Amino acid sequence: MSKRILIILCSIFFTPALIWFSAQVVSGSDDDHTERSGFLLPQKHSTNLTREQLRGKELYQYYCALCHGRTGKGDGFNSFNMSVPPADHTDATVMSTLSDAQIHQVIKEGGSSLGRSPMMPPWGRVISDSEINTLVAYIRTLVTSGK
Amino acid sequence: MKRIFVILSFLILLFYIWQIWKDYNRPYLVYQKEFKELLKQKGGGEAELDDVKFVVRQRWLEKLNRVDRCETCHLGVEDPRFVDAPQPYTTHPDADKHSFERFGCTVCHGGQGLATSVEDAHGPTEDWYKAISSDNFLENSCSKCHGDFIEQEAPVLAKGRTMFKEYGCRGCHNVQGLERVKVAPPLVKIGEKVKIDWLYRWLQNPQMYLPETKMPNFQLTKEEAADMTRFLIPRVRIKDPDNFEGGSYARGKRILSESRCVTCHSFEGKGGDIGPDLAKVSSKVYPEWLFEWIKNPQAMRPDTLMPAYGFSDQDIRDLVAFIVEEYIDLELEDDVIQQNIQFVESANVGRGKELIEKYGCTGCHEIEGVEDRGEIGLDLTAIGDSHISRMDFGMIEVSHEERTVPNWLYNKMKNPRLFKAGLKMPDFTFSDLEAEALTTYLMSRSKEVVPASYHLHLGERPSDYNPQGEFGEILDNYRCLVCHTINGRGGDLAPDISIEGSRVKEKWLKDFMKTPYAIRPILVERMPRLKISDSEVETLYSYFRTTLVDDRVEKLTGSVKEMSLKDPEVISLGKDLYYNKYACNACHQVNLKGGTIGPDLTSVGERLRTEWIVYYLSDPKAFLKRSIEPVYDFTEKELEALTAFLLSAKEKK
Repeated sequence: MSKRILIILCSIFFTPALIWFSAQVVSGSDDDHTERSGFLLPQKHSTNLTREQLRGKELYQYYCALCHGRTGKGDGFNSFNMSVPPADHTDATVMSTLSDAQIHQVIKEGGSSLGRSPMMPPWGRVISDSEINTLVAYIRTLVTSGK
Repeated sequence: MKRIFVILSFLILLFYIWQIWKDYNRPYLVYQKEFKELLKQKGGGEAELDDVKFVVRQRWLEKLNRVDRCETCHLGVEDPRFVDAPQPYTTHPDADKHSFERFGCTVCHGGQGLATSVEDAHGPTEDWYKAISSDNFLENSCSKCHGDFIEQEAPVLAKGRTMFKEYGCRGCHNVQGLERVKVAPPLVKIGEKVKIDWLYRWLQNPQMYLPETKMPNFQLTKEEAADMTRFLIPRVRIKDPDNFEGGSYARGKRILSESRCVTCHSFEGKGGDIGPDLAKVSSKVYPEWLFEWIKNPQAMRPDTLMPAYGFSDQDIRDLVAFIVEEYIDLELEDDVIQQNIQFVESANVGRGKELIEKYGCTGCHEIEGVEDRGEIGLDLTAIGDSHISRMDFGMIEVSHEERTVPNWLYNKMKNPRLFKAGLKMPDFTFSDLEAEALTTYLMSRSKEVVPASYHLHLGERPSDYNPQGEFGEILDNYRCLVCHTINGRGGDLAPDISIEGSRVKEKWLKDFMKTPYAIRPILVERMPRLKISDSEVETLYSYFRTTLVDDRVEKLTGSVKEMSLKDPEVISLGKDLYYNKYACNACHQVNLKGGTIGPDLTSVGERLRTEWIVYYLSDPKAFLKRSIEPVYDFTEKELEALTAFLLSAKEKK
């Protein structure tokens, strides 16, 4: 009687173990025949900018880069035609003297609103306040050196 | 015996305790506890902290027939304080347009809304094949509600849609609701157009001759390419190619540059991309064919983008003479050409036909003597709904988490014959971004229907503007809409001329059509000199002036008459505004002084109607939405003065 129970118990415990083991062996032997090469995964598009800064970058490249340059050095193709050179957004000493509110105002109301050149036009009727905020955020990332 | 039963019942008891403990200690509880800690750090108040209950939080979206429990762990999605928090607590960016109340999560992101463990919710798991969309393909969901024309809001999806059309995917794959159009040139009488050895080289690798071509690489062997060439060009050419009666090289050169062929064609990498690069064209086509083509391209290929120039026969002969002599493939050696031709001549015509049928060339080309048997590829109408078990990964081992439908599609785009050698789909050599765009578009092909109350169609349905009669014929003949847009239809290389009749003056237009020039100083001259006749220009202008007008401009005539635009005082006020107050010269030139962003304003009064100047100054964005002109709030007086100054700004001689 007890022997029979023992046999039943043994088979209950051992059968799954056996199945598991054989499955391992089979899948292991599979490995030798398959190749992994060539299968690609889509790559993450990495960027150091936040979403806000990215939106600002789009606007900057569309509206500002023509004069201020693609990288913000103030060397856009139109900068050479101007009597007052466009601001260099990479210059840390100048940029650190400007508050976010001031940059916002110059973009919104133009250079003349802060007593600067009217060559910087007012964008307030073209770019919304929240979009100007993204621009300010992006312009802050352009500073490269302390020169 | 008894002892065995005691042990067994003890084991069963343990098993039950373990189950109950497992039920109480759900994995999401860990996240909820951590969230509460985080909330405390962020300064959440007492009441707020009490609100965080340790339960499954679900949204039932009745209309979408979905139950989303994602916010059980993603607790900070609606809370702006969690912008910088790590996942799963991060605030959802730009969530203002899609409220969680109405949309939930899975309708856009995919995944298993009912699940409450990380693996089950994100997938894929054994029983759940629809994993959440990776960021690269996320835009596939947009078209569910926003329709098939969404453009700016889903740029990746829109790019995929355009590519699907342009690469002629529809030729081999059925998609319900999309028309099957043969996107490539018909190959009827191809033997009169191209040289045998060129076709043989082209079939082996089209990108060798034209790197930017949309023709894919079928990875044919030399023998296969030769067989196909032999079938497509069955007879050896009888006409002697050197027999073409040539013209003047120098005059041809001048005509080519005057006609601004470079606007659409590039020559050795410089020029437009509307037509093919012509740097090596004389190694491809016969001069007689080139002559006939330039004379009337639309007769040979009705859907060509090339305008029918009004050249005389002598003009064309000169052009052909120049092209044949100038644009040759210098690396090509004569004995190699002869070898190739001999190899093709000994090839098997019957096998060539079989290959052409096998690879479904008739999906894109019309071919004489080959029956078009319709789509030979998979039906893609609902490819986005596919079960992963339908995707054959062949012998490639892919781990369970990576086995998803979009990943399969992405790899199929990158390397169509990856999963099995000898498949028919050719290699389009897509870049990563292109493959992602196409995969996104394919994933959007789904039979899932959202209720009509969720529909918000974005983007514009293609315009069906199609003028008839004399004007329509001119428009068609010169292919104006390849570059210009009228009422929503056409290209974006050149200005939108939907209200040109309100904008320009008659005399200026007539002169411009005869000798076009660039209105913006930095642009290279692009408008071709079409050799258009006087009566055609007359027809154009009268259509512009009667049909392509805007009442907002026309109604200004009365107020313009009342302006004192000739008054020297008003003019000098305008000058002051132009140079000092508004610094218009930052972007515009008058007599070569000023910026080069906007159009040159010298003698602008001869080009533009006065009403238009007033209209444009009051709101530059009213007509040109993409204009980069800043909008000023001019007073009536300033408008008058600026207009007066612009009209006075004549060319200094």
